[in-house]
Amino acid sequence: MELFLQAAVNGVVLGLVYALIALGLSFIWGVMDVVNLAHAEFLMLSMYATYWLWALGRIEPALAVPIVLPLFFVFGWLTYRLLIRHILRASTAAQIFATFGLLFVLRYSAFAAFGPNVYGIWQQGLGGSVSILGTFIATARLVAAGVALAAFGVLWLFLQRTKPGKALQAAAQDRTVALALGIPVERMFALAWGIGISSVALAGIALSPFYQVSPTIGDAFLLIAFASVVLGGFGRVDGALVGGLAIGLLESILGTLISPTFKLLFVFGIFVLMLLFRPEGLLGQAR
Amino acid sequence: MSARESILRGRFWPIVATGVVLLALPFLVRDTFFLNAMILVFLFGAMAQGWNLIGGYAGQISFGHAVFFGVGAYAASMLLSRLALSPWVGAWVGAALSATVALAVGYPTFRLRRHFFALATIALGEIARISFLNWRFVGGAIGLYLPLEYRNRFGFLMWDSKRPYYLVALALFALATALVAVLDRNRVGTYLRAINQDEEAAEMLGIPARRYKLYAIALSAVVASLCGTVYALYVLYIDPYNVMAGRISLLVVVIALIGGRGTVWGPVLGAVFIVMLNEYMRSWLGGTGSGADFILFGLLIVLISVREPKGLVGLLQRRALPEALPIQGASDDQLPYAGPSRVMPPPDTFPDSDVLGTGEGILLRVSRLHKRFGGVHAVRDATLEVRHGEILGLIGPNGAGKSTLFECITGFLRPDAGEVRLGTARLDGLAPHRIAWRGVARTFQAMRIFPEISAWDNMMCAQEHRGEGLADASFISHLGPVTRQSRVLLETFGLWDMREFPAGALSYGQQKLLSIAMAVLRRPAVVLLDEPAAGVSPVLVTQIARHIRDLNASGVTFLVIEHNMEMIMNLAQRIAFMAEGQVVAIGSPEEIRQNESVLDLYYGR
Amino acid sequence: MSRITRRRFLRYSGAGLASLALTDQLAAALAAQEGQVTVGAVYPLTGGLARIGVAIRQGIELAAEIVNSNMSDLTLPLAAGTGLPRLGSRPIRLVWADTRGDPATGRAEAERLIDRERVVALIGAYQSAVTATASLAAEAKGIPFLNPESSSPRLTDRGFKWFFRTGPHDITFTKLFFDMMEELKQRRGARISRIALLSEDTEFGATAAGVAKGYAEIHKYTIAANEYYTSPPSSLTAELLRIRAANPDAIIGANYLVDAVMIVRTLKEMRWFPQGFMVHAGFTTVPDFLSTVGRDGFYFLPRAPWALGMGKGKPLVSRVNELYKKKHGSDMDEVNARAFTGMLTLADAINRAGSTAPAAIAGALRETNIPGSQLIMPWQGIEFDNKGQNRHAAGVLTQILDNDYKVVWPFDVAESQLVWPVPPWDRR
Repeated sequence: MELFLQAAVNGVVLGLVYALIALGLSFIWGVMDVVNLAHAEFLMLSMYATYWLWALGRIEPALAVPIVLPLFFVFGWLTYRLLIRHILRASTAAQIFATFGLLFVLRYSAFAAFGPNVYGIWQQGLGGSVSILGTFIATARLVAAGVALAAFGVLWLFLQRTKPGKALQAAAQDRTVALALGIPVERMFALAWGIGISSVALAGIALSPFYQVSPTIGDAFLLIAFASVVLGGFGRVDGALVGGLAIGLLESILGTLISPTFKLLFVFGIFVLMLLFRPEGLLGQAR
Repeated sequence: MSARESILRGRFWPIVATGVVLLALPFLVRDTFFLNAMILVFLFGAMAQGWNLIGGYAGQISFGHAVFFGVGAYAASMLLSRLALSPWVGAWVGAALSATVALAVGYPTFRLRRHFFALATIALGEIARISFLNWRFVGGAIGLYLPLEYRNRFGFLMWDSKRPYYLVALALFALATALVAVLDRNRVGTYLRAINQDEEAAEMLGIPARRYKLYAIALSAVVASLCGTVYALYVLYIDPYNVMAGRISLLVVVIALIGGRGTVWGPVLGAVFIVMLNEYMRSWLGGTGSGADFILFGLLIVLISVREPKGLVGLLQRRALPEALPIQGASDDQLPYAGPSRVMPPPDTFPDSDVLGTGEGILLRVSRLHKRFGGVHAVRDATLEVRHGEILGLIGPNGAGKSTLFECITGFLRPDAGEVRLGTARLDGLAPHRIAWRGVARTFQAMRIFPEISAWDNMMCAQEHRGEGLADASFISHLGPVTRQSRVLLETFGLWDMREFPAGALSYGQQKLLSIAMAVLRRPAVVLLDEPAAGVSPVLVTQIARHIRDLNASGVTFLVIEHNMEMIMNLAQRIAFMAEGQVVAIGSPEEIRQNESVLDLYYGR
Repeated sequence: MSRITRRRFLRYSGAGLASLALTDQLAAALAAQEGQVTVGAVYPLTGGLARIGVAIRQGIELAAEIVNSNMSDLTLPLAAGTGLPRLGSRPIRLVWADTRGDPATGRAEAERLIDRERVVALIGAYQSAVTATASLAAEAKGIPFLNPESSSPRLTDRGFKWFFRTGPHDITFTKLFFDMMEELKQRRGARISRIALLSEDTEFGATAAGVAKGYAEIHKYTIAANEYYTSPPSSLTAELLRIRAANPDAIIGANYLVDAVMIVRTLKEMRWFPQGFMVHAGFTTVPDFLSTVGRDGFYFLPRAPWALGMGKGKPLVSRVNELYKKKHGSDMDEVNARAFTGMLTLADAINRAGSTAPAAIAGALRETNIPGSQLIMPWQGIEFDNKGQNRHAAGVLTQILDNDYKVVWPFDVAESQLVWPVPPWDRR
């Protein structure tokens, strides 16, 4: 029972970070119907950025946020302007391949720049752990979970309460009507990319204290992100939250109680089943 | 056809020359590094050809082909280790297993949207890899060392020298390419392309889309599996990381993409370019070059996806269009009218008499049909009878449910209640292609022909598919009666000279005519036309009406949705009026024109 | 396709292929340089294990340098005099190939070295899976293959005629662990009955786990948990949670450096440590580990075929380490110490053969008899059995104490006291 509780607490913490990764993906997907296969590569790059800031500049991850976040916002914006814009109206295959090619470019640039080695931040400061309900949680992980939750809150407020936020939602629901209403859709899309990429970058910063980075970590995270999005329902902020938490819990509980080697197998299996039987997700409505 | 043959002849000698050179190479060159690179070119090129069938032609992009490769590798290796079974046999066992896996995977997942399918293949690939990693029976993480005592023994596909492997791999590559070339030339290739461009329209023409996709993925799996077997026998040590990893799946996609997917030579060019570059860059630049070539590949892929979908092949090839004719139909008055020739053969040429029932009487009967979308009742208790041999017009305001009715009749939507019968046979609940086989054809409100294949190939897609065997469609090019009938129709509609043009290059009016020609090619019992006169110049409207009347005179029944009152009133023998989901009135054009409710609902008097 | 472009394409590709064939001849000519004895080395110079590969390279090159130059004050084979005396003082020339850590690539590279560079012998390849395929190429072509560091027992079980291994393998290493635990139980009354295994999931880890299970059965220990993971892991929480839940007294790990950091991190988060954590090293003796995790990395028990602390009883060890340190700024480790020794063994054999004919070298290898005093290893010597395994290969157990790797077992050669059980986190 104690093991279960431990696994559950780990799962929630992990799940919140997964939710943050899924958020960007879901957002972009919802707003402009583009499936970004390169999503997890941005995560990888932001982890590298955080690492090097720490290794070379002795900047703690918490302080890296104001540097890395705007940087990746611009990165997302640029990706839209330079590439995505051209494939919006293209066939599904073209979209798949465009982001696939982007994945390659980002990943192998990381290889070329940083080598295949694995890097990890080792902090003596936030290295302790905290006890909750008789289980332990590394302080760093708790902070990460908190950051993720905060990010969700901020984004929700943005979408519901501000003008550009509401315009984004409108563009997400119906591009043509939004255009007709005079909403600058182009700019909305670029904004969506900016937000989407900077949220995955924030997830990367949050993960850095306790995950190690190498050029290929995108593999596992990509499928987890997609699983979260599909599980929760794409295009919805709350869907990403629910999906991410669910995947985190599933992975942690099934992995700890049944078998760690199969934990990803469970996640992927559920993913495929969702695709087959309820692609709109737990919260979504059938499109 | 003759154009194609002459192109093929032009290719023949260069192909033979290349073949001779390739065969001679392992006897002239002894550099094992080069031979090794070539073996990898052949193996991954062959696998890319296999992928090409399902990912290029059929458009179902798979990122999980490593599974088939791995199954082939493991099956042959296990059979050799445990049962001393020759890999020449083991390879085919592996291929059968892979094909089974492919069918099992494809069957439920093909109906997913394209990017969901791609994601599902990534997930399935990982599931397979993790499973094999933990499966003690096949060695799990330790992997399999192939038993070395079979080296150089006859019949075990295991040698010390690289030369025999080279020849085996080359043969595999050649066979895979030949397979794709044959399918490309024959009906299967055309059908797959059509399915790729518009699966629903293909279904409506009677092409059983899922069947062809399953066929393609099974073939694809067989090829990949054979490659896996040869690879295992070559490297002599396999583990999940080396034969079931995502990077193999991705490599194959990259090769096909950059070379040009959906073409015969694409994977060939891609394999040479990519594998060679990869091997030699590693050897020249040593460690530091690792990955640099992949950045290049990534950029190429992005470029290709944005610009030239046919990759390297597209760059090297200028599409050989026949000399450009003045675009006919630009001003439609010039469209030649071939006269009221007897376009359609008498009914018994394409037999389906059981459906037609007795000569006169009701052909298509819709009874009390209901269809809702959430809160909207699109079709409400609709009843309609189409008499054998008539032209029945269907009019009504927008949102009356006319197109929804068509969707229910043709099987794209399942009605919530009610029946549809053709003769004595019940149609509701059948898959669209089966409804087409029964003798129902339709055109769509928004033009749905296949823009990227020629007008002629479009017609080929429209032939009778009921009872069409996969083997026939793969190896026999064209059936005589079909080609004759297609020619007659194209000439009648004034499209014969444009037959080699991609259908997307035709004018709107010409496309409309083409879609009608496609609908009637297989002599259907009833044709549903959805706004045939929409968006077309008045001259062409008259032409279209004339064609419909001629076809009707040959015995084809029509149900026509139209908003062009003048046209439909003159064309149809009876008119049905539909509003708010119900058929409100039905009768002769005169009766309808004077019908009170019609005037109310339609003209808003 | 229009005819013109097709023909041109074919012409160019034909020319390309022909020129590639010609370079084959050229390369061979260049490589057959008189005056040097060419030895090929296949190691992971890129990839996740690149750091180890580079360290190995430095070790092997040091060995070659000692052979090629006159260092008569070192009691190592061929240190006196320049080059190989029985071959007219010809120097050894090393040619390097990168396996990328991949078995198929390793084999292709081995073949390339044999065919293009005309090497007379090969040395490699660190990872057992890569050594397996690379040595296969050598076996097929009749070139001696010397393996200093791979630990899978299967490599010598194959009974190859051209394969020789100087270093110990997993059975020897695992035996160390169990012998030590038995002695702890007898001498100190330690209570050890449950063992957990944590292994990375390629051949290295899986084989090591298998051997451990075998020994556990013999000595009547219970395997409480047996967890595998893929290196490098993003997270080991689930695996270590399960291990902890199984309540083991000790853990035996088969892990790489990158995994080690994650292991320490997770154990610290969990605030748990078993009585002892033995490792099939490959990680903990590489200096990077301690510089990353600091104090938190103490008390691990790596098996080591070599440890710097041996220098106290054997000055040769420290002397060689000095040479290495002067060049590269860091101490040697147990991996490149083995590689260093392997290279010297190979050079010794080539010299005794008095010829560059591979068959002669293989014959000389079979007759190798280097006494322990001429080695920087704690072995009694180098002598190959009929399967190509050095029968004197053995190891010691070290423990990370006071920021250093101290030899702690066998007790009679120990330099520090073995700490067992390890103090819990809050009392460190």
